[in-house]
Amino acid sequence: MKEVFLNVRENTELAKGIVKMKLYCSSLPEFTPGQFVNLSVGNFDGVLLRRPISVYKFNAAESTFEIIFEVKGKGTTFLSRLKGGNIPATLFLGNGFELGANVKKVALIGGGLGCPPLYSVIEKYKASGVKFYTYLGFSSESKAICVDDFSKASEKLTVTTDDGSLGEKNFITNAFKKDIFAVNPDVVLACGPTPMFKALKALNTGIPTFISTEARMGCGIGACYVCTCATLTGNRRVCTDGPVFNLKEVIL
Amino acid sequence: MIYSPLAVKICGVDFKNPVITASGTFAFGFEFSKLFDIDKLGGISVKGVTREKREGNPGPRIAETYGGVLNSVGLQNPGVEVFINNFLPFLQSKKAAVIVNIAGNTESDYCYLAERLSGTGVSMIELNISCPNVKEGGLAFGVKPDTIQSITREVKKRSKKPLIVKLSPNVADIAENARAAEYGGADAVSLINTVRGMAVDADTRRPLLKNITGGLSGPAIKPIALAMVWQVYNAVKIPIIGMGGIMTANDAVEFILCGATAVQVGTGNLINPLTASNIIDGLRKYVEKNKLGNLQEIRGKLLID
Repeated sequence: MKEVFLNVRENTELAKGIVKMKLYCSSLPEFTPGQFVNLSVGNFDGVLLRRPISVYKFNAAESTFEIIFEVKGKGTTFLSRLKGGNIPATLFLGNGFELGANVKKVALIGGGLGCPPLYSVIEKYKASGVKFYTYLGFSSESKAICVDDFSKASEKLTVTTDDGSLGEKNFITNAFKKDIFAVNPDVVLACGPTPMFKALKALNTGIPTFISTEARMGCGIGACYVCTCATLTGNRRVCTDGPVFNLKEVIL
Repeated sequence: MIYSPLAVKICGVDFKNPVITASGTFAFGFEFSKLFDIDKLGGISVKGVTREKREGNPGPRIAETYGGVLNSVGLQNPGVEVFINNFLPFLQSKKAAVIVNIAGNTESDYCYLAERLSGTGVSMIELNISCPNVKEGGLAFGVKPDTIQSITREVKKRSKKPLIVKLSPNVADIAENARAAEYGGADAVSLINTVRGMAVDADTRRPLLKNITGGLSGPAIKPIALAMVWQVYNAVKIPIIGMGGIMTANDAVEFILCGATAVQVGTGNLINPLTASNIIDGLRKYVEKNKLGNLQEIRGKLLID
Protein backbone atom coordinates (compact mmCIF):
# COMPACT_ATOMS: atom_id res chain seq x y z
CA MET A 1 0.00 0.00 0.00
CA LYS A 2 1.40 3.34 -1.04
CA GLU A 3 0.35 6.98 -1.41
CA VAL A 4 1.40 8.22 -4.86
CA PHE A 5 0.74 10.74 -7.62
CA LEU A 6 -0.52 9.41 -10.93
CA ASN A 7 -0.27 10.78 -14.45
CA VAL A 8 -2.95 10.13 -17.06
CA ARG A 9 -1.34 8.56 -20.12
CA GLU A 10 -4.50 7.67 -22.06
CA ASN A 11 -8.14 8.53 -21.56
CA THR A 12 -10.60 6.91 -23.99
CA GLU A 13 -14.33 6.27 -24.13
CA LEU A 14 -14.77 2.50 -24.46
CA ALA A 15 -18.55 2.47 -24.71
CA LYS A 16 -21.30 4.96 -24.03
CA GLY A 17 -20.45 6.61 -20.69
CA ILE A 18 -17.67 4.11 -19.94
CA VAL A 19 -14.10 5.40 -19.75
CA LYS A 20 -10.77 3.60 -19.88
CA MET A 21 -7.74 5.34 -18.42
CA LYS A 22 -4.10 4.37 -18.51
CA LEU A 23 -2.26 5.75 -15.50
CA TYR A 24 1.46 6.07 -14.89
CA CYS A 25 3.37 6.21 -11.63
CA SER A 26 7.17 6.34 -11.39
CA SER A 27 7.26 3.67 -8.66
CA LEU A 28 4.34 1.25 -8.69
CA PRO A 29 4.04 -1.09 -5.71
CA GLU A 30 3.36 -4.81 -6.17
CA PHE A 31 -0.02 -5.74 -7.57
CA THR A 32 -2.30 -8.71 -6.99
CA PRO A 33 -5.13 -9.24 -9.54
CA GLY A 34 -8.43 -8.00 -8.13
CA GLN A 35 -6.88 -5.20 -6.10
CA PHE A 36 -8.12 -1.63 -6.56
CA VAL A 37 -6.93 1.96 -6.43
CA ASN A 38 -8.44 4.88 -4.52
CA LEU A 39 -8.33 8.03 -6.65
CA SER A 40 -8.66 11.59 -5.38
CA VAL A 41 -11.33 13.78 -6.94
CA GLY A 42 -9.81 16.91 -5.42
CA ASN A 43 -12.69 18.87 -3.96
CA PHE A 44 -14.71 18.94 -7.14
CA ASP A 45 -18.06 20.67 -6.70
CA GLY A 46 -18.34 19.63 -3.08
CA VAL A 47 -17.32 16.01 -3.69
CA LEU A 48 -14.64 14.86 -1.27
CA LEU A 49 -14.27 11.11 -1.00
CA ARG A 50 -11.82 9.23 -3.18
CA ARG A 51 -13.17 6.85 -5.84
CA PRO A 52 -12.23 3.18 -5.45
CA ILE A 53 -11.78 1.61 -8.91
CA SER A 54 -10.54 -1.86 -9.84
CA VAL A 55 -7.56 -2.50 -12.10
CA TYR A 56 -8.06 -3.90 -15.62
CA LYS A 57 -4.47 -4.29 -16.80
CA PHE A 58 -1.17 -3.95 -15.01
CA ASN A 59 2.12 -3.36 -16.81
CA ALA A 60 5.18 -3.44 -14.53
CA ALA A 61 7.62 -2.79 -17.39
CA GLU A 62 5.79 0.41 -18.40
CA SER A 63 5.00 1.27 -14.77
CA THR A 64 1.38 1.78 -15.84
CA PHE A 65 -2.00 0.28 -15.16
CA GLU A 66 -5.44 0.67 -16.68
CA ILE A 67 -8.81 1.25 -15.05
CA ILE A 68 -12.31 1.22 -16.48
CA PHE A 69 -15.24 3.06 -14.91
CA GLU A 70 -18.70 4.32 -15.73
CA VAL A 71 -19.37 8.05 -15.54
CA LYS A 72 -22.26 8.21 -13.10
CA GLY A 73 -21.93 11.21 -10.79
CA LYS A 74 -19.76 14.22 -10.05
CA GLY A 75 -16.71 12.22 -8.92
CA THR A 76 -16.51 10.00 -12.00
CA THR A 77 -17.31 13.01 -14.23
CA PHE A 78 -14.30 14.78 -12.76
CA LEU A 79 -12.08 11.72 -13.27
CA SER A 80 -13.27 11.24 -16.87
CA ARG A 81 -12.04 14.75 -17.75
CA LEU A 82 -8.56 14.33 -16.29
CA LYS A 83 -5.55 14.85 -18.50
CA GLY A 84 -1.90 14.82 -17.40
CA GLY A 85 -1.18 14.60 -13.65
CA ASN A 86 -0.71 14.71 -10.62
CA ILE A 87 -3.63 12.81 -9.17
CA PRO A 88 -3.20 11.75 -5.54
CA ALA A 89 -4.06 8.09 -5.11
CA THR A 90 -3.57 5.18 -2.73
CA LEU A 91 -2.66 1.85 -4.30
CA PHE A 92 -2.91 -1.13 -4.53
CA LEU A 93 -5.65 -1.96 -2.05
CA GLY A 94 -7.58 -5.01 -0.89
CA ASN A 95 -6.76 -8.73 -0.93
CA GLY A 96 -7.35 -9.63 -4.60
CA PHE A 97 -7.71 -13.02 -6.30
CA GLU A 98 -5.03 -15.61 -5.57
CA LEU A 99 -4.93 -18.96 -7.39
CA GLY A 100 -3.45 -22.02 -5.73
CA ALA A 101 -0.70 -23.95 -7.59
CA ASN A 102 -3.10 -26.87 -8.26
CA VAL A 103 -5.62 -24.68 -10.12
CA LYS A 104 -5.56 -25.46 -13.85
CA LYS A 105 -9.03 -24.45 -15.05
CA VAL A 106 -10.78 -21.25 -14.01
CA ALA A 107 -14.27 -20.01 -14.84
CA LEU A 108 -14.49 -16.21 -14.86
CA ILE A 109 -17.94 -14.70 -14.50
CA GLY A 110 -18.31 -10.96 -15.03
CA GLY A 111 -21.30 -8.67 -15.00
CA GLY A 112 -21.01 -5.20 -16.60
CA LEU A 113 -18.38 -3.06 -14.91
CA GLY A 114 -17.41 -6.12 -12.88
CA CYS A 115 -15.65 -7.62 -15.93
CA PRO A 116 -12.39 -5.56 -16.01
CA PRO A 117 -10.75 -6.82 -12.76
CA LEU A 118 -11.15 -10.43 -13.95
CA TYR A 119 -8.84 -9.66 -16.88
CA SER A 120 -6.00 -8.88 -14.47
CA VAL A 121 -6.25 -12.51 -13.27
CA ILE A 122 -5.73 -13.81 -16.81
CA GLU A 123 -2.76 -11.46 -17.26
CA LYS A 124 -1.02 -12.91 -14.25
CA TYR A 125 -1.77 -16.63 -14.57
CA LYS A 126 -2.09 -17.27 -18.33
CA ALA A 127 1.67 -17.73 -18.75
CA SER A 128 1.75 -20.50 -16.14
CA GLY A 129 -0.67 -22.58 -18.21
CA VAL A 130 -3.96 -21.89 -16.41
CA LYS A 131 -6.94 -22.17 -18.77
CA PHE A 132 -9.72 -19.62 -18.56
CA TYR A 133 -13.39 -20.11 -19.50
CA THR A 134 -14.99 -16.69 -19.50
CA TYR A 135 -18.64 -15.63 -19.14
CA LEU A 136 -19.45 -11.95 -19.54
CA GLY A 137 -22.91 -10.44 -19.11
CA PHE A 138 -23.98 -6.93 -20.11
CA SER A 139 -27.24 -5.01 -20.20
CA SER A 140 -26.84 -4.44 -23.94
CA GLU A 141 -24.27 -4.24 -26.75
CA SER A 142 -23.80 -0.50 -26.19
CA LYS A 143 -22.46 -1.25 -22.68
CA ALA A 144 -20.28 -4.23 -23.64
CA ILE A 145 -16.59 -3.79 -22.76
CA CYS A 146 -13.33 -5.75 -22.94
CA VAL A 147 -14.89 -8.50 -25.09
CA ASP A 148 -11.98 -8.70 -27.59
CA ASP A 149 -9.32 -8.93 -24.89
CA PHE A 150 -11.17 -11.70 -23.04
CA SER A 151 -11.91 -13.47 -26.32
CA LYS A 152 -8.19 -13.68 -27.22
CA ALA A 153 -7.11 -14.87 -23.80
CA SER A 154 -9.86 -17.40 -23.01
CA GLU A 155 -10.30 -21.04 -24.07
CA LYS A 156 -13.93 -20.16 -24.54
CA LEU A 157 -15.84 -16.90 -24.20
CA THR A 158 -19.60 -16.66 -23.72
CA VAL A 159 -21.37 -13.30 -23.82
CA THR A 160 -24.98 -12.64 -22.90
CA THR A 161 -27.01 -9.44 -22.82
CA ASP A 162 -30.28 -8.59 -21.10
CA ASP A 163 -31.78 -7.40 -24.39
CA GLY A 164 -30.16 -9.90 -26.78
CA SER A 165 -28.28 -7.18 -28.70
CA LEU A 166 -25.01 -9.09 -28.28
CA GLY A 167 -24.67 -12.83 -27.73
CA GLU A 168 -27.53 -14.79 -26.28
CA LYS A 169 -30.43 -13.02 -24.55
CA ASN A 170 -29.96 -14.51 -21.10
CA PHE A 171 -28.45 -13.95 -17.71
CA ILE A 172 -24.77 -14.86 -17.64
CA THR A 173 -25.24 -17.23 -14.70
CA ASN A 174 -27.73 -19.27 -16.77
CA ALA A 175 -25.18 -19.49 -19.58
CA PHE A 176 -22.56 -20.68 -17.10
CA LYS A 177 -24.97 -23.24 -15.62
CA LYS A 178 -25.24 -25.00 -19.00
CA ASP A 179 -21.44 -25.37 -19.17
CA ILE A 180 -20.57 -26.38 -15.62
CA PHE A 181 -20.17 -30.12 -16.23
CA ALA A 182 -18.47 -29.74 -19.61
CA VAL A 183 -15.95 -27.20 -18.30
CA ASN A 184 -15.66 -28.55 -14.75
CA PRO A 185 -13.51 -25.66 -13.45
CA ASP A 186 -11.31 -26.00 -10.36
CA VAL A 187 -12.40 -22.58 -9.20
CA VAL A 188 -14.92 -19.87 -10.12
CA LEU A 189 -14.03 -16.16 -9.87
CA ALA A 190 -16.81 -13.61 -10.24
CA CYS A 191 -17.33 -9.87 -10.16
CA GLY A 192 -20.59 -8.09 -10.84
CA PRO A 193 -23.83 -6.89 -9.28
CA THR A 194 -25.40 -8.50 -6.19
CA PRO A 195 -28.24 -10.23 -8.14
CA MET A 196 -25.55 -12.03 -10.17
CA PHE A 197 -23.90 -13.27 -6.96
CA LYS A 198 -27.29 -14.44 -5.67
CA ALA A 199 -27.91 -16.38 -8.87
CA LEU A 200 -24.43 -17.88 -8.63
CA LYS A 201 -25.02 -18.94 -5.05
CA ALA A 202 -28.34 -20.51 -6.08
CA LEU A 203 -26.48 -22.71 -8.62
CA ASN A 204 -24.93 -24.46 -5.64
CA THR A 205 -22.10 -25.79 -7.80
CA GLY A 206 -19.92 -27.18 -5.03
CA ILE A 207 -16.94 -25.58 -6.81
CA PRO A 208 -14.85 -23.14 -4.74
CA THR A 209 -16.20 -19.70 -5.74
CA PHE A 210 -14.69 -16.34 -4.93
CA ILE A 211 -16.49 -13.06 -5.57
CA SER A 212 -15.20 -9.50 -5.69
CA THR A 213 -17.74 -7.35 -3.89
CA GLU A 214 -18.46 -3.62 -3.97
CA ALA A 215 -19.51 -1.11 -1.33
CA ARG A 216 -19.42 2.66 -0.91
CA MET A 217 -16.08 3.33 0.76
CA GLY A 218 -14.51 5.92 3.03
CA CYS A 219 -10.76 5.66 3.58
CA GLY A 220 -10.23 2.56 1.41
CA ILE A 221 -7.44 1.32 3.71
CA GLY A 222 -9.39 -0.40 6.48
CA ALA A 223 -9.55 2.31 9.11
CA CYS A 224 -13.09 3.73 8.95
CA TYR A 225 -15.25 0.59 8.79
CA VAL A 226 -17.91 2.04 6.49
CA CYS A 227 -17.59 -0.43 3.57
CA THR A 228 -19.10 -3.37 5.33
CA CYS A 229 -19.89 -6.84 3.96
CA ALA A 230 -22.08 -9.16 6.04
CA THR A 231 -20.45 -12.60 6.34
CA LEU A 232 -20.93 -15.75 8.40
CA THR A 233 -18.08 -14.54 10.62
CA GLY A 234 -19.59 -11.05 11.12
CA ASN A 235 -19.29 -7.72 9.36
CA ARG A 236 -16.04 -7.53 7.40
CA ARG A 237 -14.34 -4.61 5.66
CA VAL A 238 -14.72 -4.77 1.86
CA CYS A 239 -11.60 -2.62 1.31
CA THR A 240 -9.21 -4.69 3.42
CA ASP A 241 -10.72 -8.08 4.34
CA GLY A 242 -12.07 -8.08 0.74
CA PRO A 243 -13.01 -7.08 -1.85
CA VAL A 244 -12.65 -10.80 -2.65
CA PHE A 245 -14.61 -13.13 -0.38
CA ASN A 246 -15.50 -16.80 -0.54
CA LEU A 247 -19.08 -16.88 -1.89
CA LYS A 248 -20.20 -19.38 0.75
CA GLU A 249 -19.11 -16.96 3.52
CA VAL A 250 -21.01 -13.93 2.22
CA ILE A 251 -24.56 -13.21 3.34
CA LEU A 252 -26.23 -11.78 0.23
CA MET B 1 10.29 17.01 26.48
CA ILE B 2 12.17 18.81 23.74
CA TYR B 3 10.97 22.34 23.25
CA SER B 4 8.80 22.73 20.20
CA PRO B 5 6.69 25.71 19.12
CA LEU B 6 3.80 23.29 18.61
CA ALA B 7 4.12 21.43 21.94
CA VAL B 8 1.24 21.60 24.39
CA LYS B 9 0.34 19.98 27.70
CA ILE B 10 -3.29 18.95 28.15
CA CYS B 11 -4.38 17.80 31.62
CA GLY B 12 -0.79 16.84 32.41
CA VAL B 13 -0.29 14.88 29.19
CA ASP B 14 2.45 16.05 26.82
CA PHE B 15 1.50 16.44 23.18
CA LYS B 16 4.34 17.28 20.80
CA ASN B 17 1.82 19.08 18.62
CA PRO B 18 -1.91 19.77 18.92
CA VAL B 19 -2.99 17.48 16.06
CA ILE B 20 -4.93 14.38 17.08
CA THR B 21 -6.64 11.96 14.71
CA ALA B 22 -10.34 11.69 15.51
CA SER B 23 -12.09 8.58 16.73
CA GLY B 24 -13.62 6.37 14.07
CA THR B 25 -11.48 7.62 11.20
CA PHE B 26 -8.10 6.14 12.15
CA ALA B 27 -9.02 2.73 13.61
CA PHE B 28 -6.14 1.80 15.96
CA GLY B 29 -3.42 3.44 13.86
CA PHE B 30 -2.03 0.37 12.13
CA GLU B 31 -3.48 0.99 8.64
CA PHE B 32 -2.28 4.59 8.43
CA SER B 33 1.17 3.62 9.74
CA LYS B 34 1.76 1.94 6.36
CA LEU B 35 1.29 5.30 4.61
CA PHE B 36 3.09 7.75 6.91
CA ASP B 37 5.09 7.89 10.12
CA ILE B 38 2.39 8.16 12.79
CA ASP B 39 5.05 8.98 15.40
CA LYS B 40 4.64 12.48 14.01
CA LEU B 41 1.09 12.86 15.39
CA GLY B 42 0.34 14.69 18.62
CA GLY B 43 -2.22 12.08 19.53
CA ILE B 44 -4.52 9.34 18.28
CA SER B 45 -8.09 9.01 19.48
CA VAL B 46 -8.89 5.40 18.74
CA LYS B 47 -12.05 3.90 17.27
CA GLY B 48 -14.83 3.87 19.89
CA VAL B 49 -14.33 0.87 22.17
CA THR B 50 -17.16 -0.94 23.97
CA ARG B 51 -17.19 -3.60 26.68
CA GLU B 52 -18.07 -6.42 24.28
CA LYS B 53 -17.42 -6.79 20.56
CA ARG B 54 -19.90 -4.94 18.33
CA GLU B 55 -20.83 -5.66 14.71
CA GLY B 56 -22.14 -2.16 13.96
CA ASN B 57 -24.97 -1.29 11.60
CA PRO B 58 -25.81 -2.93 8.27
CA GLY B 59 -24.51 -1.22 5.09
CA PRO B 60 -24.50 1.07 3.23
CA ARG B 61 -22.92 3.02 6.09
CA ILE B 62 -21.61 6.00 4.15
CA ALA B 63 -23.03 8.61 1.80
CA GLU B 64 -21.65 11.81 0.34
CA THR B 65 -23.32 15.19 0.64
CA TYR B 66 -22.17 18.61 -0.52
CA GLY B 67 -18.83 19.19 1.21
CA GLY B 68 -19.57 16.49 3.71
CA VAL B 69 -19.80 12.81 4.54
CA LEU B 70 -22.62 10.97 6.32
CA ASN B 71 -21.82 7.80 8.23
CA SER B 72 -23.71 5.27 10.27
CA VAL B 73 -21.06 2.74 11.29
CA GLY B 74 -22.60 2.21 14.71
CA LEU B 75 -19.46 1.59 16.79
CA GLN B 76 -18.20 -1.63 15.18
CA ASN B 77 -15.20 -2.65 17.30
CA PRO B 78 -13.57 -5.79 18.72
CA GLY B 79 -14.33 -5.00 22.40
CA VAL B 80 -12.08 -3.66 25.13
CA GLU B 81 -10.13 -6.85 25.91
CA VAL B 82 -9.14 -7.45 22.29
CA PHE B 83 -8.24 -3.76 22.05
CA ILE B 84 -5.96 -3.97 25.09
CA ASN B 85 -4.34 -7.26 24.08
CA ASN B 86 -4.05 -6.94 20.30
CA PHE B 87 -4.06 -3.25 19.41
CA LEU B 88 -2.79 -1.22 22.36
CA PRO B 89 0.80 -2.61 22.32
CA PHE B 90 1.27 -1.31 18.77
CA LEU B 91 -0.14 2.11 19.68
CA GLN B 92 2.07 2.32 22.76
CA SER B 93 5.15 1.61 20.66
CA LYS B 94 4.42 4.89 18.87
CA LYS B 95 5.23 8.38 20.05
CA ALA B 96 1.69 9.79 19.86
CA ALA B 97 -0.50 10.20 22.95
CA VAL B 98 -3.15 7.45 23.02
CA ILE B 99 -6.69 8.58 23.74
CA VAL B 100 -9.24 5.80 24.10
CA ASN B 101 -12.74 6.70 23.04
CA ILE B 102 -15.23 4.64 25.09
CA ALA B 103 -18.93 3.95 24.55
CA GLY B 104 -21.57 1.86 26.26
CA ASN B 105 -25.25 1.08 26.71
CA THR B 106 -25.37 1.88 30.38
CA GLU B 107 -23.60 4.05 32.92
CA SER B 108 -22.00 0.94 34.39
CA ASP B 109 -20.54 0.04 30.96
CA TYR B 110 -18.78 3.42 30.85
CA CYS B 111 -17.56 3.02 34.45
CA TYR B 112 -16.27 -0.49 33.74
CA LEU B 113 -14.36 0.68 30.66
CA ALA B 114 -12.79 3.63 32.50
CA GLU B 115 -11.69 1.37 35.34
CA ARG B 116 -10.37 -1.31 32.98
CA LEU B 117 -8.37 1.18 30.91
CA SER B 118 -7.02 2.94 34.02
CA GLY B 119 -4.80 -0.09 34.56
CA THR B 120 -3.20 0.24 31.11
CA GLY B 121 -0.70 2.62 29.56
CA VAL B 122 -3.23 4.78 27.70
CA SER B 123 -2.81 8.57 28.01
CA MET B 124 -6.41 9.74 28.26
CA ILE B 125 -9.99 8.53 28.07
CA GLU B 126 -12.59 10.19 25.83
CA LEU B 127 -16.16 9.65 26.98
CA ASN B 128 -18.27 9.18 23.87
CA ILE B 129 -21.75 10.25 24.88
CA SER B 130 -22.44 11.77 21.50
CA CYS B 131 -22.64 8.97 18.90
CA PRO B 132 -25.82 9.50 16.83
CA ASN B 133 -25.67 6.02 15.28
CA VAL B 134 -26.51 3.65 18.12
CA LYS B 135 -29.95 3.04 19.60
CA GLU B 136 -28.98 2.66 23.22
CA GLY B 137 -26.42 4.64 25.21
CA GLY B 138 -24.34 7.01 23.17
CA LEU B 139 -26.31 10.14 22.63
CA ALA B 140 -28.88 9.13 25.26
CA PHE B 141 -26.41 10.33 27.91
CA GLY B 142 -25.19 13.34 25.98
CA VAL B 143 -28.23 15.54 25.40
CA LYS B 144 -29.29 16.87 28.80
CA PRO B 145 -26.96 18.66 31.22
CA ASP B 146 -28.06 16.64 34.28
CA THR B 147 -27.28 13.25 32.69
CA ILE B 148 -23.97 14.57 31.31
CA GLN B 149 -22.97 15.80 34.75
CA SER B 150 -23.93 12.57 36.51
CA ILE B 151 -22.25 10.15 34.04
CA THR B 152 -19.13 12.32 34.00
CA ARG B 153 -19.00 12.27 37.81
CA GLU B 154 -19.46 8.49 38.02
CA VAL B 155 -16.86 7.74 35.34
CA LYS B 156 -14.41 10.27 36.75
CA LYS B 157 -14.56 8.52 40.15
CA ARG B 158 -13.30 5.31 38.52
CA SER B 159 -10.84 6.77 36.06
CA LYS B 160 -7.18 7.21 36.92
CA LYS B 161 -6.68 8.77 33.50
CA PRO B 162 -7.57 12.33 32.48
CA LEU B 163 -11.15 12.33 31.22
CA ILE B 164 -12.28 14.12 28.07
CA VAL B 165 -16.03 14.38 27.51
CA LYS B 166 -16.94 14.39 23.80
CA LEU B 167 -19.93 16.61 23.19
CA SER B 168 -22.73 16.37 20.64
CA PRO B 169 -23.89 19.30 18.52
CA ASN B 170 -27.40 17.79 18.39
CA VAL B 171 -28.48 19.57 21.57
CA ALA B 172 -30.27 22.69 22.78
CA ASP B 173 -27.25 24.44 24.30
CA ILE B 174 -23.77 22.96 23.95
CA ALA B 175 -22.24 25.58 26.30
CA GLU B 176 -24.55 24.46 29.09
CA ASN B 177 -23.61 20.82 28.39
CA ALA B 178 -19.91 21.70 28.50
CA ARG B 179 -20.45 23.38 31.88
CA ALA B 180 -22.27 20.26 33.08
CA ALA B 181 -19.26 18.13 32.07
CA GLU B 182 -16.95 20.56 33.87
CA TYR B 183 -19.09 20.43 37.04
CA GLY B 184 -19.08 16.62 36.76
CA GLY B 185 -15.29 16.67 36.90
CA ALA B 186 -14.27 16.40 33.25
CA ASP B 187 -10.62 17.32 32.66
CA ALA B 188 -11.35 18.48 29.11
CA VAL B 189 -14.10 18.53 26.50
CA SER B 190 -13.88 17.60 22.83
CA LEU B 191 -16.33 18.92 20.25
CA ILE B 192 -18.12 18.49 17.98
CA ASN B 193 -19.21 14.95 17.25
CA THR B 194 -21.17 14.54 14.00
CA VAL B 195 -24.33 16.46 13.18
CA ARG B 196 -27.36 14.28 12.62
CA GLY B 197 -28.16 14.25 8.91
CA MET B 198 -29.79 12.37 6.07
CA ALA B 199 -29.44 11.92 2.32
CA VAL B 200 -32.15 10.74 -0.07
CA ASP B 201 -32.00 9.48 -3.67
CA ALA B 202 -34.80 11.12 -5.66
CA ASP B 203 -34.71 8.41 -8.36
CA THR B 204 -34.87 5.34 -6.14
CA ARG B 205 -36.85 7.25 -3.44
CA ARG B 206 -34.66 5.60 -0.83
CA PRO B 207 -32.38 6.93 1.88
CA LEU B 208 -28.69 6.58 0.97
CA LEU B 209 -27.89 5.06 4.37
CA LYS B 210 -29.40 1.75 5.46
CA ASN B 211 -29.74 3.29 8.92
CA ILE B 212 -31.77 6.13 7.25
CA THR B 213 -30.07 8.87 9.30
CA GLY B 214 -26.41 9.23 10.16
CA GLY B 215 -23.77 11.65 11.38
CA LEU B 216 -22.57 14.43 9.09
CA SER B 217 -18.90 15.37 9.13
CA GLY B 218 -16.40 17.16 6.91
CA PRO B 219 -16.00 20.75 5.72
CA ALA B 220 -19.79 21.19 5.57
CA ILE B 221 -19.97 21.28 9.39
CA LYS B 222 -16.91 23.47 10.08
CA PRO B 223 -18.88 26.71 10.65
CA ILE B 224 -21.14 24.91 13.15
CA ALA B 225 -18.11 23.48 14.95
CA LEU B 226 -16.29 26.82 15.11
CA ALA B 227 -19.33 28.56 16.59
CA MET B 228 -19.74 25.84 19.20
CA VAL B 229 -16.05 25.85 20.18
CA TRP B 230 -16.26 29.62 20.61
CA GLN B 231 -19.45 29.33 22.73
CA VAL B 232 -17.89 26.62 24.91
CA TYR B 233 -14.62 28.55 25.25
CA ASN B 234 -16.62 31.37 26.75
CA ALA B 235 -18.39 29.01 29.15
CA VAL B 236 -15.74 26.72 30.68
CA LYS B 237 -12.18 26.85 32.02
CA ILE B 238 -11.11 23.29 31.11
CA PRO B 239 -9.22 22.69 27.83
CA ILE B 240 -11.16 22.25 24.60
CA ILE B 241 -10.24 19.87 21.81
CA GLY B 242 -11.93 21.24 18.70
CA MET B 243 -12.99 19.31 15.62
CA GLY B 244 -15.36 19.44 12.68
CA GLY B 245 -14.25 19.60 9.06
CA ILE B 246 -10.58 20.38 9.65
CA MET B 247 -8.73 19.76 6.37
CA THR B 248 -5.84 22.26 6.47
CA ALA B 249 -3.48 23.96 8.93
CA ASN B 250 -5.48 27.16 8.53
CA ASP B 251 -8.63 25.31 9.58
CA ALA B 252 -6.79 24.12 12.70
CA VAL B 253 -5.62 27.67 13.46
CA GLU B 254 -9.21 28.92 13.20
CA PHE B 255 -10.26 26.45 15.93
CA ILE B 256 -7.34 27.50 18.13
CA LEU B 257 -8.28 31.17 17.67
CA CYS B 258 -11.79 30.22 18.84
CA GLY B 259 -10.36 28.72 22.01
CA ALA B 260 -9.31 25.15 21.22
CA THR B 261 -6.09 23.91 22.88
CA ALA B 262 -5.80 21.05 20.39
CA VAL B 263 -7.69 19.81 17.36
CA GLN B 264 -8.85 16.49 16.00
CA VAL B 265 -8.79 15.60 12.32
CA GLY B 266 -11.40 13.07 11.26
CA THR B 267 -12.98 13.05 7.81
CA GLY B 268 -9.82 14.70 6.47
CA ASN B 269 -8.00 11.38 7.01
CA LEU B 270 -10.46 9.68 4.63
CA ILE B 271 -10.11 12.31 1.90
CA ASN B 272 -6.32 12.15 1.97
CA PRO B 273 -4.46 9.80 4.30
CA LEU B 274 -1.72 12.40 4.70
CA THR B 275 -4.05 15.18 5.90
CA ALA B 276 -3.03 15.12 9.59
CA SER B 277 0.65 14.99 8.65
CA ASN B 278 0.23 17.92 6.24
CA ILE B 279 -1.58 19.93 8.92
CA ILE B 280 1.34 19.49 11.33
CA ASP B 281 3.77 20.76 8.65
CA GLY B 282 1.43 23.65 7.92
CA LEU B 283 1.17 24.63 11.59
CA ARG B 284 4.96 24.73 11.82
CA LYS B 285 5.02 27.14 8.88
CA TYR B 286 2.26 29.24 10.43
CA VAL B 287 4.20 29.60 13.68
CA GLU B 288 7.34 30.65 11.77
CA LYS B 289 5.52 33.07 9.51
CA ASN B 290 3.75 34.72 12.44
CA LYS B 291 6.86 34.66 14.64
CA LEU B 292 5.13 32.85 17.50
CA GLY B 293 7.16 31.28 20.32
CA ASN B 294 4.41 28.70 20.73
CA LEU B 295 1.17 28.19 18.85
CA GLN B 296 -0.73 28.40 22.15
CA GLU B 297 -0.04 32.15 22.21
CA ILE B 298 -2.98 32.64 19.88
CA ARG B 299 -5.38 30.33 21.70
CA GLY B 300 -8.71 32.14 22.09
CA LYS B 301 -7.19 35.30 20.63
CA LEU B 302 -9.91 35.86 18.09
CA LEU B 303 -9.81 39.56 17.26
CA ILE B 304 -13.14 41.18 17.91
CA ASP B 305 -13.90 44.91 17.64
